[in-house]
Amino acid sequence: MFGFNVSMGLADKFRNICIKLGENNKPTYAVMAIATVKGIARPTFTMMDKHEDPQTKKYTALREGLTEVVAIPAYWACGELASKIAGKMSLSEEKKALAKHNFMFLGVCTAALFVIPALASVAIKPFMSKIQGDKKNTAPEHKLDIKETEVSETAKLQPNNYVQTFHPINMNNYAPAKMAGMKVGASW
Amino acid sequence: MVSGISNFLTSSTLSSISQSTTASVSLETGMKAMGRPAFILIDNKIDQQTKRYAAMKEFLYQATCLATYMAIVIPIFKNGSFKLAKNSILKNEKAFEQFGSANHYLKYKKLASMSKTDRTATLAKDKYKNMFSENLQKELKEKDKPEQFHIVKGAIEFGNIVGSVLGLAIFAPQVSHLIVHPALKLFGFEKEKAEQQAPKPVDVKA
Repeated sequence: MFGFNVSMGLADKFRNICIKLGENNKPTYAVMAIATVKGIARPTFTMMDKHEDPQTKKYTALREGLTEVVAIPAYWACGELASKIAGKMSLSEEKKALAKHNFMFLGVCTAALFVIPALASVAIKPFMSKIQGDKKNTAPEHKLDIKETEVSETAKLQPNNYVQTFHPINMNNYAPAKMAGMKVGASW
Repeated sequence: MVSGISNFLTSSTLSSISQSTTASVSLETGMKAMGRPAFILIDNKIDQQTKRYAAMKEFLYQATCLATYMAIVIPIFKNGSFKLAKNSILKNEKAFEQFGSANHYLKYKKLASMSKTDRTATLAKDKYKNMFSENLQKELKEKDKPEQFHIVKGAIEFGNIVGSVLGLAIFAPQVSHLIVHPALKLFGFEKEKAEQQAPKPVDVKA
């Protein structure tokens, strides 16, 4: 009896969802649903990759998750804002309804092409750089081993085509030791 | 010019595209496939080789997602949701009894959205003569605004949304991951990138 009620309840809910979607299927519904599942699935797939370095995995997963977190409200806001603009146009009621829907679709496209990539570079990049910077600052200092010292020494070597040049002493600037003393206004 | 823009913004064709989940998602993915590589290519801060590689990778990723979506996801979920609703979840709904498949309903919907004059002219064509039941023929021929059967459209759209989510968020990225790298190798982009990243050999004798 209880199971029957639950299935009836679910069928009624499904029926209501179908009627609502049939009457007005907003372009924001699909893109927001896709972004929500992407926000969960993409970081999960990244963390499941066994060939990747754990630190890189965490960074990539966080970045992917944050991008979708930004995308969900961006889709909604762009769609609704565009729809509101259409609502203020002087059109007949029938045309206004069409324009509202069309503007919402164009708003969603704008969000996908311009707004989300811009928000990702404005908000997520600095955030991720800050996290990386903090990790670098808190990382323990390691003593250099012999190999690292060798690398730094080789880096200081002159290139193969380096020719030692002779720089003669400029006698005009040279002052013998006997001239050095408490003399005021000396050339050096 | 202004009236052209106004007509475009209030057009019923654009509205029917935006009302359909599959059409709007396909169009949006197509725009991403063209737009995102274009933005990468006009970025002056990146060097030429990296730009070409990144643009090609982005294009291939979006194109593979679109192809997978259109070839596999749309037909399965559109028809699957209709059959699931008709045969089990909403089997008592009379609206579903009028239609044999999702495509059958969508053809009716297209005619029902037309003006009465256009509709009557279209129904006179041979291929439409036996397409619909008597009730539906009557509905289309006699009424100015025929019944839309929103519940049937909603069931199809529900399946399309579920299919879009599973397809674009889970299935298509896996498929494109398998295709993108071999395709980049085929076009010579992976080799170029590897050469660019490899350290230049030092001439010891010089």
